[in-house]
Amino acid sequence: MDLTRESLDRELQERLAMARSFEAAEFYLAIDTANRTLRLHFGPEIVREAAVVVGEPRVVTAEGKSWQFVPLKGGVTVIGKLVDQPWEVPAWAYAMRNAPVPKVPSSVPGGLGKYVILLPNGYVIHSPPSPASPLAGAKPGSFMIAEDQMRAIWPRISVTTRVYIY
Amino acid sequence: MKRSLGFLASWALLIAALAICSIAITAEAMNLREMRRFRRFAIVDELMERNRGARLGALRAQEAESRAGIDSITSSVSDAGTALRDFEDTDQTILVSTEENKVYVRRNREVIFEAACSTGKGTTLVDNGRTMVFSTPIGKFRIVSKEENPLWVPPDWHYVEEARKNGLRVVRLERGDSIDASTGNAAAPVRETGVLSWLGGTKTISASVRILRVKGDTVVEIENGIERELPPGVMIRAGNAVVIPPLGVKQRKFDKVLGRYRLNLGDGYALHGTLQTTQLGRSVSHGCVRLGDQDIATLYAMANVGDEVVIY
Repeated sequence: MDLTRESLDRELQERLAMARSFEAAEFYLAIDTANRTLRLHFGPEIVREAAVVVGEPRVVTAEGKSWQFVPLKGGVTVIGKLVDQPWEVPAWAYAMRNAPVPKVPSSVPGGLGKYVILLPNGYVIHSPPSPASPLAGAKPGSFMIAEDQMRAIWPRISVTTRVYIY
Repeated sequence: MKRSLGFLASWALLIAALAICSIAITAEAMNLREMRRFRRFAIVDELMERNRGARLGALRAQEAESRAGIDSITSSVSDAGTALRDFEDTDQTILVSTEENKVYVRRNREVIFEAACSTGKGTTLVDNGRTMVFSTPIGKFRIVSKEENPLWVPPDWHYVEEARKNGLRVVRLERGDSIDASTGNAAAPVRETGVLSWLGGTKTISASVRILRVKGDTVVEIENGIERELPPGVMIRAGNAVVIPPLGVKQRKFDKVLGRYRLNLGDGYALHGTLQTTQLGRSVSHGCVRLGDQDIATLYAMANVGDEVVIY
């Protein structure tokens, strides 16, 4: 845990925001990265709990470029939802596997899984990628849950849903 | 000669003594100057030490203050975490997943019961300009009452749906009205027979052979002056029409359709049993949550009036 005053203060504010959400009659997600658990809440009630795979932070370097994946923490809002969308595989996904980066970007059906919840700054919550995907598990810095769990919470997630990651 | 030599020697001694004295005075003056310099250095050192000490003290105070602030925030974060954990999911909650068509009961963060169910099919029905959506409502509810052997009072849409399914129309039977049982049309009025006719009463009955009308809390069929009560819980047909009896009559109450138990959520929604057990796990209901016989019996035993039900 980062013990600077700013980070602690930020975390406190986020937790207080989460506590305030308990009073609201709305669905929201909470991701406990320490216990690797994703929860769908409705106000104070935990509606559903699912195991979550947290994408490890890492730095990928290839062909003079560098991609840094920093774990997401704090409160964010869902900005989009995708179902059965092909994934245009970014260069880092190949670089991560030490595979050559194709000249023309390829598109892989289910590359990020069947369901993808879009969070700001490229972060996602996704279901397990298809076997054809160069991504074997969770996207670095992002989150992955089982497809049946994602299907169960899917109708209750909208572009206004809040996600608290702590 | 001796005298002049002695005189010269005296002068020489005097000059030497004066020289020694001046050297001594000069040396002493130098000593004094050096002492002053050393003293000044000492004062500067002392001032610097004092200043450094003050700054060190200030830094130490600042560090202690920062540490106290961080401790306070750490403690607040920890308290908030504890409060969140305490706040989360302490009692029993019934959860209904409309996507999975499953009912769960969570108690103390553990799922202690799980069963297949049927939730709303999500279709719409338009009748007389009114649109009805057959969806299970999403959100938080509470069990407002528990019922054993509940009777089902079908809403109007049930009759409309049944009629459309069979290519029929619907006709409402209101209290005081008569319906021709053969056509479903309003019965032609004739003057009342019997005692009321002596009073010149305006009450009417149908002139057709068979008519339907409400008598007290039941629907009767009158044929050639003979009344027969229609069986309760059976759909009434009148020619090519399905009859909607008024609320409160026996024919508007259906037994055993909802299974043995019902947990009411208010606004006509409930968790209850069903005859259509082969449809469990599918979205086929009109908004209620249907469970199998054994599962609704278990849930009924576990549930308390006031329990929260979250449908998602």
